[in-house]
Amino acid sequence: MISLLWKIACNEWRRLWHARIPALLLLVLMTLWAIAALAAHHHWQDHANTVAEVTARSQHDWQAQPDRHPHRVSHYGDFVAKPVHPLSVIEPGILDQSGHLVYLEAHRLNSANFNPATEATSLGRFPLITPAMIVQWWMPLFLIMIAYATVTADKITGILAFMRGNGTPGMAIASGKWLALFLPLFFLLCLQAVLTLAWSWQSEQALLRLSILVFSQALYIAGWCLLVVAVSWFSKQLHGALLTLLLCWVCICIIFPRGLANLAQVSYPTQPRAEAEYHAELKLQSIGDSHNPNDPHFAAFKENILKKYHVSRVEDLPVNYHGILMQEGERLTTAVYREQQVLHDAQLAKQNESIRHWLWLTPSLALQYIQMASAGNDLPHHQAFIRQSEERRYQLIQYLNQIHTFKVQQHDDKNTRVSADFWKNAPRPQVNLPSIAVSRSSIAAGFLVLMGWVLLPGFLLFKVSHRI
Amino acid sequence: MKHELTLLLKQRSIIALLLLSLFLTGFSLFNGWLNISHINDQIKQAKHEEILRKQDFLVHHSHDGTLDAGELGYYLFHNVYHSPGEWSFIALGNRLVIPYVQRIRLLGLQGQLYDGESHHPEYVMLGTFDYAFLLVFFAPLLCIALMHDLKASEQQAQRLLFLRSLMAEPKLFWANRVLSRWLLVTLTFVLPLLLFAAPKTLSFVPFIHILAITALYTFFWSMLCAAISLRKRALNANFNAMLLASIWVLLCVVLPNLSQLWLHYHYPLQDGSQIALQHRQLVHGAWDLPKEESLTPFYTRYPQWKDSPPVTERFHWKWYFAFQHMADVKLEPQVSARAQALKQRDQAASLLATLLPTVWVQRSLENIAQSNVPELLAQRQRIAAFHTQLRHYIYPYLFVEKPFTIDAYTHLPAFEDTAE
Repeated sequence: MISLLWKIACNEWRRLWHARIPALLLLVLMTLWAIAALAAHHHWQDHANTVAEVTARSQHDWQAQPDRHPHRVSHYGDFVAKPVHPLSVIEPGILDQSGHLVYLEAHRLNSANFNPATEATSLGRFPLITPAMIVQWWMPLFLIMIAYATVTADKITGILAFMRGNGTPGMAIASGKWLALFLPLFFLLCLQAVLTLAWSWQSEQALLRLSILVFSQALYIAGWCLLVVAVSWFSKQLHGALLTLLLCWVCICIIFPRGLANLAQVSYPTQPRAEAEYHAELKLQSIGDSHNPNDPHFAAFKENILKKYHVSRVEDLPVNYHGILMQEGERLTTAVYREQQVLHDAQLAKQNESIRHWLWLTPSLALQYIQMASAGNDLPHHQAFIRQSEERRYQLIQYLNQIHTFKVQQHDDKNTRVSADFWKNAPRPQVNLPSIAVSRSSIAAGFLVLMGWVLLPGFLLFKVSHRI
Repeated sequence: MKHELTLLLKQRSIIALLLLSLFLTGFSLFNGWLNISHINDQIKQAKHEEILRKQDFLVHHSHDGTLDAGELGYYLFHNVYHSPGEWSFIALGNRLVIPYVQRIRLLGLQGQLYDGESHHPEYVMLGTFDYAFLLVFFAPLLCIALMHDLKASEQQAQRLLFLRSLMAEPKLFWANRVLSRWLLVTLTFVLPLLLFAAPKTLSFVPFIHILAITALYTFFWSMLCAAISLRKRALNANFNAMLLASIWVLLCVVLPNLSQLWLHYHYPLQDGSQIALQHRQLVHGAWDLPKEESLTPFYTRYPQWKDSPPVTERFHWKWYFAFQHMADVKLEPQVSARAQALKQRDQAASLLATLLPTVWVQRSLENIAQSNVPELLAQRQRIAAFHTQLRHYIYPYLFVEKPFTIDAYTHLPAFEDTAE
C-alpha cells in the first residue's frame, strides 16, 4: 500500500516537473518568500532597535535624576517599551497597530502610543507581505494554480478510469495525489521552522512557540491540499476546477477575515479613549476629593490615621500626612482606572467573541490567530503587556509615595529634596514578554477550526474518490 | 451590445457572481457608513459631555466669582475633534487609528498630541471592508472572472472558427464583448453607490469623482484582461487565468509592498517615542533649573510679558506654563522635521500612484474621504493652533494676574470642528 502511494506521488511529481509551469510557480513562491523574509526581518530589526533605544534612554534618564521631591519623581514618570519576540519576523501581527510605548506616571493611566499605522500613507493599506502571509495566502493560491488539474486532467484523458480498472483503489489515488502536493510544501514549512529556530533558539519558549506555529501551518496547508484534490476530482472541466478553487480562495483568505472583523466592530463598536477618561474622572469625583476638608471619605480616612498613630492633630503625626494621602489617592485612582481598562478589555473581548462565532468560515483567520499568538503579537499578549506595565507603574508610584511619607518632613514638605539614591533603587521590574499561555483560548479556537478544516475536505475527498 | 448583455445575463454563474459583487459593495458601503456614523455619534456625545464637564469645573474651582487661571490651565481638559468628512465612508484609511476625540490641556503640547485611540488593534490590522478596498481588490478579480476566456471559451465550444467567418468587423465584435462586460462590472459598483448616496443628499462633485475613478479602474482591468485573452494564441483559458491572477497579485500586493519598503528606506522617520522622551526630559528638567533659564527665553518670544512681576516664590503658575511651552519650542525643529518627512513620504506615494493603478485608486479615494496623511498633518496643525489660541487667551491672567472672572471663563476659546 505504502509503495503504491509512493508510486502515485512520484508519478505526480514527474508530471508536475515536465509541465514546467508548476516548477516555475514554485520558484516564484520561493522568491516571494525570500522577499517577505527580508522585509519582515528589516521591519523587526527596526522595531527591536526602537525598543532597545527607548529602554536604554529611559533607563539612563531615570538613573540620572538629581535629588528631587518624591512627588516630582512620580510625575517625571517612567517609559516602558513593548518587548518583541524574534518570531515577529514570521508574523508581525499587531506590531504596527498597537503602539509600543507606555508612559507611566502618577494618577494617570496612559495609552500605548506611537503606532506606525497612524502615520502610514495609502501604501500602508495594502496587506503586508510577511512569511506568515506567504503561508496563509500565497501558498494556497500557488497550490491552486499548480494543482487544480491534478485529477481533472486524469479524468479527461481517461487515465483515472484506467487506473481504477486496474484495481487501484480510489482512496489510494487520492492519498497519493495529496501526498504529492503536501510533502514539498510541508518540507518548505519545516525548512522555514528549522532556519527560524537556528536563528532564534535563545528566545523565550522558542521551541514551544515554533512547534505550535509549524503544526498549525501544516494543518492549514494539508487542508488546502485536500480541498484542491477534492475539487479537482469533483470537476468535469479544468476550467470549472480552477474557478471554483479561486473563488474559495478569495472568500476564505480575503473576503471573510476582513468581513468578520468589520462586522464585529460594527456590532460592538469601541468607545473613544477620551470618554473612558471622562467617566473615570466622574467616578473619582464621586468617591471623594482629598482637597475638600469636609469630604466624608477622606475625613474618615484621616480619622483612622490619627487613631492609628494615637495623635489628635495631623501636625503631630510622626510621618508625612501628604504622603499617606498620596498613597490613598493613588490606590483609589488606580482602582478606577483599572476598572476602565477592564471595561475596555471587555469591549474587545466581545468583538473577539463575535469573530470566534464565525471563525469556522475562514481557516485562514484561524491560522492567523495562532500565528500571531505564537509570535507574541496578538491582542492577549498586548493586553498582558499593558497589565504588566500598569503593575509596574503602581508599584513604582507607591514606592515613591512611601518615600514621601517616611523621608520627607511634614513641616518643610515642599522644599525637601530626597537623595537620588532612592530613585536608583526604585522597584522597576523589567517588563517581559508574557508566556504563550495568555493566548491559549485563541490558540484552542484556532486549532479547533483547523481540525475541522482538515476533516471537512478530507471527508469530501473520501466521498468523491469513489467516482470515476 | 444589447445581445451581448442578454447572452451574459442568461448564464447562471455570471448572475451569481454579479449578485455577490452587488452584495459585497452594498456591505462595504454600509460598513463604512456605520463606522463613520459611530464616530459622529461619539463626537456628538463628547461635545455634550464637554459642556457638562466645563460647568462642573466651574462649580468645583470657582471661589467668589473668580477662578485661578493656573489651576484652570492644569486641570481643565478641552476636547478636540477629528470629524469625518461627508464622503469619509468611502475609504476609512487611517481614521480608525487617529483619535477622533482627544483631550488637550494647557501643558506642553508634544506630551499630549500623540495619545493613542483605544481601537481594537487586530481589527485595524485585518483592514477595513470599505468601498476603496472592494474596488481595489475585488473589482479586478471580477474582471478576470468575466474576461479571461473571451477567445478560449469560444474555442472550447468549437465556435471560434465559425464566429470568425461571420464577423464583418472582428474588432468591433470583441470591443462590444469587452465593453458589455466592463459595463456590468462597473454597474455592480456604481449602482449600490448610487442607491446608497441618493437619499443622503451628499455633495455632487466628489460623487462624480468617485464614479470616474471606479469606471477608469475597471476599464483599466478590462483592457488588461482583453489584451491577454484576445492575444493571437490565447486559447488556453487556464493559462490566461493564472497569468491575470499573477498580475493581480503583483499590482495589489507585491509592488505596493516593495514601494512601501523603498519609501521607508528612502525617507526615514524619527520614531515618535524619541520626541516623547525628550519632551519629558525638557519639562521635568526645568524644575531643577533656575527659573530665569526658562523665563528669559520665554520673554524673548513674548516680550509683552517681560515686565510682569518677577517670580520670587518657590512656585508660580506663569513660570510653570512658560517652561511647558519652552519644551515645545525646543522640540519644534524635530517635530517639523518629522512632519516634513511624512509629507515627503506622502508625495513619493503620490508619485508611485501615477505608476501603479491600484495605489492611485486607493489614494484618490482616500483624498476624497480625507483619511490620509495630509489630513492627519492638518489635524495636528489645527490642534496646535487651538493650543496656541488657548495659551494666548490665558496668558494675561497668568502673567499680570488679571482676575479670571466667570465671564472670561464662558469666553474661553473652543476647538472649531471642521465639520461645522
